[in-house]
Amino acid sequence: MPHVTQPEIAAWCADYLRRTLKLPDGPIDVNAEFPSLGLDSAESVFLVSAIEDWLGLELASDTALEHPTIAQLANFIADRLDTLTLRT
Amino acid sequence: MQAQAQPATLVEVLEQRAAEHPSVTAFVFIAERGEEHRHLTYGELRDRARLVAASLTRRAARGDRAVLLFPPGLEFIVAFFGCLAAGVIAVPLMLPRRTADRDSSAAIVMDCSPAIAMTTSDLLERRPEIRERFAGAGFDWLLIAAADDKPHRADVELPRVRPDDVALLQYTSGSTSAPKGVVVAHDNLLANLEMVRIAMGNRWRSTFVDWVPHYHDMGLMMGVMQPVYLGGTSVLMAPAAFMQRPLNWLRIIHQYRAEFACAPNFAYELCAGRFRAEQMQGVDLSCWKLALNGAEPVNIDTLERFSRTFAPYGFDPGTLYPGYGLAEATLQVSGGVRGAGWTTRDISRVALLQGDVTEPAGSADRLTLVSCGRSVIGGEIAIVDPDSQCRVAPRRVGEIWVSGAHVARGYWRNHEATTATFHAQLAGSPGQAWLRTGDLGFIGEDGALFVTGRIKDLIIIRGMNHYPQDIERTVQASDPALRQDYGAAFSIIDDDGSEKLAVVQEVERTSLTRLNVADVVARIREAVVRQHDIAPAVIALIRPATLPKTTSGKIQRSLTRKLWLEGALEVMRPAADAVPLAARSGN
Repeated sequence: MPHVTQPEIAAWCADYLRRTLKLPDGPIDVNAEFPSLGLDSAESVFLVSAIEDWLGLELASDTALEHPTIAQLANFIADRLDTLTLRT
Repeated sequence: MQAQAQPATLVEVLEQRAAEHPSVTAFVFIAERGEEHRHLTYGELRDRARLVAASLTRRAARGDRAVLLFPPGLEFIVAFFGCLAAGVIAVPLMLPRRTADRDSSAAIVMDCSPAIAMTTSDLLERRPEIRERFAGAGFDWLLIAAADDKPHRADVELPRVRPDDVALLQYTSGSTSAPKGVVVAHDNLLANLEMVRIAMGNRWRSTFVDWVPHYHDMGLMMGVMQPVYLGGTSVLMAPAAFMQRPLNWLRIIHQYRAEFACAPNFAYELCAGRFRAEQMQGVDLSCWKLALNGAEPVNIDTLERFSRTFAPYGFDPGTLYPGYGLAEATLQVSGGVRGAGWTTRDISRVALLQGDVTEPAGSADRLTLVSCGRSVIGGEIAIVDPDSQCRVAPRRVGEIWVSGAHVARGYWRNHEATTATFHAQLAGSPGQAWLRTGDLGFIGEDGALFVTGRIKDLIIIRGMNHYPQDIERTVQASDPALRQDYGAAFSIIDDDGSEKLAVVQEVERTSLTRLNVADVVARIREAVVRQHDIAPAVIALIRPATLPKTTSGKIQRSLTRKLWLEGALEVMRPAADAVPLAARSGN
């Protein structure tokens, strides 16, 4: 399992969202709910897929709907890094 | 196909299949991670549907409506066939999203006044707010299990369902204001199921793979009804599982040696875009004989990219089958030839603006259209001038009109809309009723249909229909600085060829001086995502009295779209130093 910390996951998500949603440069509020950033449910599944690819693990497709801010999502993943299934 | 009498209702279809081969698998559901496979044989499906029908007949009268609120899975299938067997009209609905405080489901429930709502106990436990949402609707809940203990045969007297009984209401778009339910009778279903079978050359007992939602007309017809019609096996995966790992769709087609799988254009694009060689190892798609591409405009680049990407895995480009259809015609109106792939036609963009179909003047003027094939057998297509209601001359674009046994009965309890849409008459030849599709197109010399645009105000994103009126209302409710009834939502074509949402909205005169454009745009974006689950690609605020309206005060959406595309609208810009809402107090 790769060693990543909650802030690293949050920074990665912020960077991903900035690129895919074409957000303006500058900081993104990690406590903003995803819909306020313009993330619809299809895009939220794509975010989950991108995290899976990056970390090589398996997540439920609704992970970003259940944990709807960058901070919550990063917390959830960081807390469970050791228990989440590695992708085969 | 088989020796028995031709079934006249979908209930008879299932009874026949269950009698012919009770132990053949009708449906398989593959859970998200692919590990949990569940099956329903034809015998089990018939028995469970009869049990559901028995409890339905105790709670609802024949012709009553039952809304079907199901997560992906086999419970929906049992509930759906249970409704049919009981003579209760099935109304498949999308699950309300958690983020939307109001959505189309409430409006649809108002419109069709169901006696029963069906779902799973698991869903009500996981999402208790669903029950609360409909607390005032006055219907009973009926909970469905797809598989528990072995079902016993229900020895109950079920009503005899007739071919002209209404089978289902198909609400095709998430309208929150004026939803329209397409009334589909058993004879419509049987007519179109046979049309589809012939047009696509689908074979008896073949295998289907489907992820398109069951509340979507294509998912219901091609993932549920056509497989049962053919006595085949349908392998279902959840829509979100497809979105998360699109290549799993292809892997499942391979594993089950499926001949048929369908999807809107965006799905083929997604597969090609997310291609990873390591995830395609060992996949052989040579079993796949028909890849229906429908429910949104078919893009030539997508067809080529998909074929190129997956040809090394045994995918035959001839498998791709562009089609045209709509729920108002049950599903399919036209389509290609099995195994023949797609055909295209290059026309002039400039001439098309005038409704003419001519050769392009050069490469910049060239527009390549994908043919949607010829009318299904038993159906008729006319290209009509919507003003004069006469057929247009050859090489002219007009509204696509459809006639035949697949054209549904109308819109549920909406006489006005039914008359306008389903009872059109060609000038000079009264007597034949035509369906006005609201789509524009022309018919080529070989009889093939090309769709060029739409006259109806409809936005199709990822195969889902949205009404602009609903989106405009959401936009205007998102901030008091926005002027009521002075906004337009319309679709634009993105760089990648896909349809995207654009919103143009006037600002109140009284709010002009203290307007924070960035804040208001952020509020609009959030409201539209929460209510409609689509992110606008464009949100443009404009000054009062600059939105084009007709003299009678109707919003001119297509003119607004044209002005926006030409850069002729004066869009208000955020102040240079303004920080967007969501970007504040970030770390």
